[in-house]
Order: sequence, then structure tokens, then C-alpha cells
Amino acid sequence: MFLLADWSPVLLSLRTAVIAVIAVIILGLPLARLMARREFPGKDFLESAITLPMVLPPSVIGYGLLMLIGKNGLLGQTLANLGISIIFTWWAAALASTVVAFPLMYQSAKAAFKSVDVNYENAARTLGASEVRIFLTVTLPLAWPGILAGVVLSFARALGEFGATLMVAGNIPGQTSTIPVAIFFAVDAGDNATAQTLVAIVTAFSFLVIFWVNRWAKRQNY
Amino acid sequence: MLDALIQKKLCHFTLNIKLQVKNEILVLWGHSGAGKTTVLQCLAGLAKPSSGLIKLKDQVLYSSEENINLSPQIRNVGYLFQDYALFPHMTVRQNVMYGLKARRFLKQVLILWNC
Repeated sequence: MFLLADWSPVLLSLRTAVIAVIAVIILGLPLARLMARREFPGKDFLESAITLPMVLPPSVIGYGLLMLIGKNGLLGQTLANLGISIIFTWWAAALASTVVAFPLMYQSAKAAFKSVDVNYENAARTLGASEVRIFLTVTLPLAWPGILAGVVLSFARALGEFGATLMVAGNIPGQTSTIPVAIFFAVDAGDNATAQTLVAIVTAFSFLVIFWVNRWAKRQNY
Repeated sequence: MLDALIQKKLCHFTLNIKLQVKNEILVLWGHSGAGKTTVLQCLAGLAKPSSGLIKLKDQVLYSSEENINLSPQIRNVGYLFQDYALFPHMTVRQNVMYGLKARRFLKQVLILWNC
């Protein structure tokens, strides 16, 4: 086929990254909102734990995930009883991407929520709007540029996840071999043509995404 | 008729407020940091007093004794913010409609409730 003999790494990477970003949005936004506006005991501790995956070596995250979803892992055993095994499937790759991308989404969203003047929310409160409506119609639109930055950063990070993915999902062509993993094994096997094409694709794609977001953010200034 | 007898602990002092307002205009006058905004926020429900009682006509808005603290949404208190707090991402029309939509929604809920 055109350029590449096998396009599966590209499709797999997109699929895992999209799933990871959706998971990160669903988990990250409510948590960021909570941490931006509330004070409670143990907050600093929780904050550090949430940010930890950003600074830990990928192999440590991979090992931790193996402990979690491996055959004898906490979650792995529960799932095995239900007849499900996600280790060495693309779901494990999506999980690894979610974990490493989460802090980026969380940090961006928290900063974005904090930057929204609390008076706008209070004004909506005195006008009788429910808390859910305030979040959807006031807080979210005003924090949107920062949240979008978080989405893009976490998508890029999820797309590029290598270390932890390799440990929990391995390199099964067509099943778990995402672009970064495929590049590593292409180079390892001396297949420079494939490696170069994949490198070019991922670089061009990442550049376009960042370029578009910067352009978009420039036009949206309140 | 608005009755308020509240205490609110602030960083450096405790604010003691006693208000009794009929159908009239009341002006709060004080230097910066005296607690003017805090009083208004307590009345609107945006801040919680440390103790006391706030009553509007016959409805208790806040009472530390009875453990009542109505949310600002249902207090029916209008509040103009110092910097207006107009929603910058909405049109003039959307800004005006924002409160009306909530009122309409609340009314519908009340109608359903009474059915």
C-alpha cells in the first residue's frame, strides 16, 4: 500500500490515543474542578499522587500497571474471574496512555478552572442557575481554551507513549504495536524505510495538531 | 422587610451587623476593607455568616440556630457585582436571558410539584 506496507500502527495509535483522551477528559475535568475550588484535608497529598505519573520513569508506570492488570494483579484477577484479560491487548495500551496523559489534562484543566473569576459563577448563582448549569454554561466555556490545551497535550502524550505501553501491551503486530513501539522494533530489525515513514507521519501529525490549536486559541480571546 | 443580625469572623476582626430595612433604600458606607461586600455576600448567600439570623419578609434565609442556610439560587436576591460580572462569552441577549431561563425553569418545577 501507499508509503507503508502496514498501516495498522497508525490506526492503533489513533485508536488508543482517542480512547485515552476520552478517559482522561471524563476523569480529569471533575477532579480538576474539585481541586481548583475546594479545600479539604489531604488535598496536598492527593495533588502529589495525581501528578506523580508525569515525573515517574515510564518503566515504573509499566511495572505498576503490570501489578494492577497482570494475571495475578489486583484488577487482573477480578477481570479474569469475569473472563476478561486486557493485558497484552490494545486496551492495555490505552490504559497506559491514559495514566501518563492524565496529569497533563488535570494540570491544564485545573489552571483553566482557577483562572475563571469566581464572580461569574456567583452572578449565575444569584440568577438562580443550578450548579450543573453554571458548570456547563459559565465555567466550562470560560475555561475552554485551557481545557483544549490540556486535551491536545494529553492526546500528543498518549500518541507518543512508549515505555509503559511496551511493558503492558507488548509488540503484537496489528494488535498492540502502536507507532512508537513499531518505530523501535523497525529500527531494531534494520527496517529503516518503515521507521522513517512512521517518524515522518507522527511528526507531521503532531505539528499540525499543535499548529491548529495555537491558531484557534489566538482567535478565541475574551 | 429585611431583618439581619449577623456576626462574621474576618481575618483581623469580627463583623457585627444589625440591619432592619423596610421598603426603602439603604446605603452601606465605609472605608476599604470595612466589610461592605461581605455584608452583601452574606445577604445574597454567597458567603456564610459565622452566626446570626437573616430574614426576608417571613422567610428565614439564614439561621445559625435552626441550621438554615438557603442557597443563593433560591433566595431571590438581586445582586449587582462591583465589576458587573457580565458573562463575557455571551451576547447581550444571552446575558439578559440567563436569569429569566432559571426563573422559568424554577416555575415549571414548582408547577409540577403542586400537581
